[in-house]
Amino acid sequence: MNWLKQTRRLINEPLLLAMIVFVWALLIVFIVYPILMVGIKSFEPKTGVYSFDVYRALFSKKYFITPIINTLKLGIVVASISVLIGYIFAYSIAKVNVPFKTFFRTVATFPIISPPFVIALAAILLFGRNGIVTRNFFGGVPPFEIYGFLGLVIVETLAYFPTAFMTLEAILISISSDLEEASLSLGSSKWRTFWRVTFPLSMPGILSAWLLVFSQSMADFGTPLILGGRYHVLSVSAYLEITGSYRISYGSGLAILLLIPTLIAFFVQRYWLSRKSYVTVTGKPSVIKVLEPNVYVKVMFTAICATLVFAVFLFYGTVLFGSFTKLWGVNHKLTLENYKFAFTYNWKYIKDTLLLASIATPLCGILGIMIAYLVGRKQFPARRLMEAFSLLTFAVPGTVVGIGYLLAFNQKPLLLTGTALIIILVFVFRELPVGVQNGVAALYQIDRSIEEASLDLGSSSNKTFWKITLPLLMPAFFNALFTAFVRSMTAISAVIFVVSGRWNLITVRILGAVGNSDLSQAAALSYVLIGIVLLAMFFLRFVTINFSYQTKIRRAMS
Amino acid sequence: MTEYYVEVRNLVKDFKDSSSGSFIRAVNNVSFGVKKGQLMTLLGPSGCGKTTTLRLIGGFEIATSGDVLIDGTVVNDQPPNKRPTAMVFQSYALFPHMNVYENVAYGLKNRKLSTQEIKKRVSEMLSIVGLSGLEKRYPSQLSGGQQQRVALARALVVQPKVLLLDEPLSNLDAKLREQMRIELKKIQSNLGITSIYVTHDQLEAMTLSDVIIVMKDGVVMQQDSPEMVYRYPANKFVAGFIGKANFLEASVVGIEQNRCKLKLISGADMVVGIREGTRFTIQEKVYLVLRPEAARFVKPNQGIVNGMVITRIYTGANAFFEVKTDYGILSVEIQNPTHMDLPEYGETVGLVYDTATLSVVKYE
Repeated sequence: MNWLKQTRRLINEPLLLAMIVFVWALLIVFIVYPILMVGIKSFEPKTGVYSFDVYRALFSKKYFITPIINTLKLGIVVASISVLIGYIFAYSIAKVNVPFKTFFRTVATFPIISPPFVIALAAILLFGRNGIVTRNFFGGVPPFEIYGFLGLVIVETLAYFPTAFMTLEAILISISSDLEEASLSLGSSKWRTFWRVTFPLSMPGILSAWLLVFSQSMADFGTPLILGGRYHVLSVSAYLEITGSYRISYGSGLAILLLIPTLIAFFVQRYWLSRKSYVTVTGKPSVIKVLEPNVYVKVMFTAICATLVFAVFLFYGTVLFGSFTKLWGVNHKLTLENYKFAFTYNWKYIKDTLLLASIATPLCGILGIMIAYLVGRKQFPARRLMEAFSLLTFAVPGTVVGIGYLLAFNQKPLLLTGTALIIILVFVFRELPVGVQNGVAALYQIDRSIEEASLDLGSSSNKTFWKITLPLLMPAFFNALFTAFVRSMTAISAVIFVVSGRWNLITVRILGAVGNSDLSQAAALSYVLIGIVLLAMFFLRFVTINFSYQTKIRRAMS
Repeated sequence: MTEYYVEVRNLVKDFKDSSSGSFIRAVNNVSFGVKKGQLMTLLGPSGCGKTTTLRLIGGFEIATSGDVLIDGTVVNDQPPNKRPTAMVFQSYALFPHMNVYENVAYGLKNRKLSTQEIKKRVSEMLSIVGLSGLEKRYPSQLSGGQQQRVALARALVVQPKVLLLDEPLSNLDAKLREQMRIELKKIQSNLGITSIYVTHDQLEAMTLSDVIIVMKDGVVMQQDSPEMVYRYPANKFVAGFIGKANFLEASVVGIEQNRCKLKLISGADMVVGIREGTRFTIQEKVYLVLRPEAARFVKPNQGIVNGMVITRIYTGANAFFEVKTDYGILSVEIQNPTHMDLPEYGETVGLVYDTATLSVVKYE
């Protein structure tokens, strides 16, 4: 009876026990309970009446079936293209030794840290009815319908290929070039070496990247809301059911249909694929040797990367340009009006977003690190379950979380609707996995015996955490804070259900501006957001440099 | 009350194998005791359960069953920070964000001593391990040997009742290891601290220990002083693990109190000393344990066995031979070979062994 022994040991450490109980309480109330509410509501078409009516309707009416098929189709196409592009990009950087590597890598991460609908906005500014490409090259007739499937594919691919790229780059780097050299020395050509050695070894990474992008595309809300047109997807349909038609149980049902494939993708990726991986993580990166390819190959890969980077620049540049123009497509005279407007009329949105995200971020970081520490270092019953629940909101689409919070916290004793607190809670628990994952990864790198040494020398596990673990976790902690902050600032899919007249957010305001065809204002607000994110990044660098122990050591050396 | 300062009783530890879900018994009903001030070594090949046993004593693992007693108190339910033990880790586990002084002072600060007292004790300890003057350095700025000394100082400075050492020298290069081995022994016996030492290096165990416990597959094979472990190995595994050994099949033909008479397959009879209390029966099949370093060459038919030299290696201080006999290949190690006539490759020789070095173990 292992759990009995573990429990007995816990009683000797009351603080640890209290922490575990506290974390469990939070996870149940703010993660499990809201999601459960969505599930329950989907079986309750009328208050107090429970039946399968909702699902019967969802699977019989064309009105509901179309978004289900659309969402899956979009997810599959976007994931496949993104993985292909991401692989080429990652291969170029990790294995081909293209020039400007750092530059390419930096540009590729733009879409990850910027608001998700900036690219959608750019697509409209370029290819929409008043787009500059449409006007200047196609005489005012859009070259293709940007509002619909094709537009969504282009925009989501640009937005999500970086995810695929980052996953695949890590995998490709971890494939030792010794293996490739061994294959070459045994007489295989480079082409054969790629298909027989490199590609099979990167297969788990490819599947993993595919599933990640698939889930992101499924869960995307901002892009299809702006660009979907008549192409309906689940996240938008669920939102419209609830806020437009007030059919909450139907919205919940759609949300559950959205939840199931993303959950499956998440668990397959996390618990099955991660075990399939051929590469062993040693903690220390091995020396990366890059095989020098011939000139033509190198030029080809460089050209592909450059094209992609050009596309990213084009999209971001267009929005930047748009934020300084008077009226897009009509009057392209440069002006600061839009920013003036943003900082006066829309100042409240900026201020609220900053305030709420700033409150949520440290809470999220601390809770995340605390959970990471518990599951990564402590023995207690249901430890793995705690980890799974804390990572759950990674897998759960924002729409589901948003509806869950709407349903769960609109009555006493937890009446939070319309308050700032509910937005903060959404931020904290939505970004919780960031902290947990960063923390677990960092803990993995810290030799366990360092903490054992501290315990052994008489420090309680609480003191060990504060004196030893936390200082060593600091870099990861700051990183988690930064990511959580950026993601909170740019979040939309979940919070859109809990904003109110009293407390509203920039992202919601941007969507509103796009809806009113006030594209210049949307562009300006987007760049205000990007500016805040960049400031946060510099702040993070400053903090990391000044408060990490590595700097302390470096100073002591000089 | 027992005579032992640290005692382990019927300790069992099962680990769940994550791939198959079944349990693996890492430590199987282990019992032993260490007297106050002694250094005891847990010796065995990797995977024998020695480190797990040490971690159970330190409180880092929770035993499946069994008890750990320190100074007469059962400490099973105490977490590591409540146990009067201090451990020197294989990886040293120095706190990378603290300098040498802070590392060594860390445990003292938990004991609520005055700053002055802490300062005094730290500088005393640093001078014992020979690190005075390096207080302000960080672990990453120290050599492997210096890191090792910090780890030792950090554990010793809290004056634990028991010092636990988990292969502390395995990360050092050969020369430094030899030097630290001797130094460690000096420090340990000067301070008179009860210690439990884990290693897979039999030479290290022989050098340092008052008592050696040989383990295999989670089970204690033998528990004795270094001399006794070498002289009277408890079984074939111990005989082979401690020093080098060749085994010759034989059968018992006569038993006296501490001697027994063997008949070798060659037909030769010989009398071999056995440990008092060891039980063999007449006609029992046994192994005669031959130590290569106790062998001497004689003319053919004058020894207990004849054979042909098939390997001959001369290293200066030693000479190694392999002799092919009817009963298998026997190794021979001659020390100070310059004083002797060494047989040539291919030569037929006879072998004799110094009877005092022979021992008998059960056939398995």
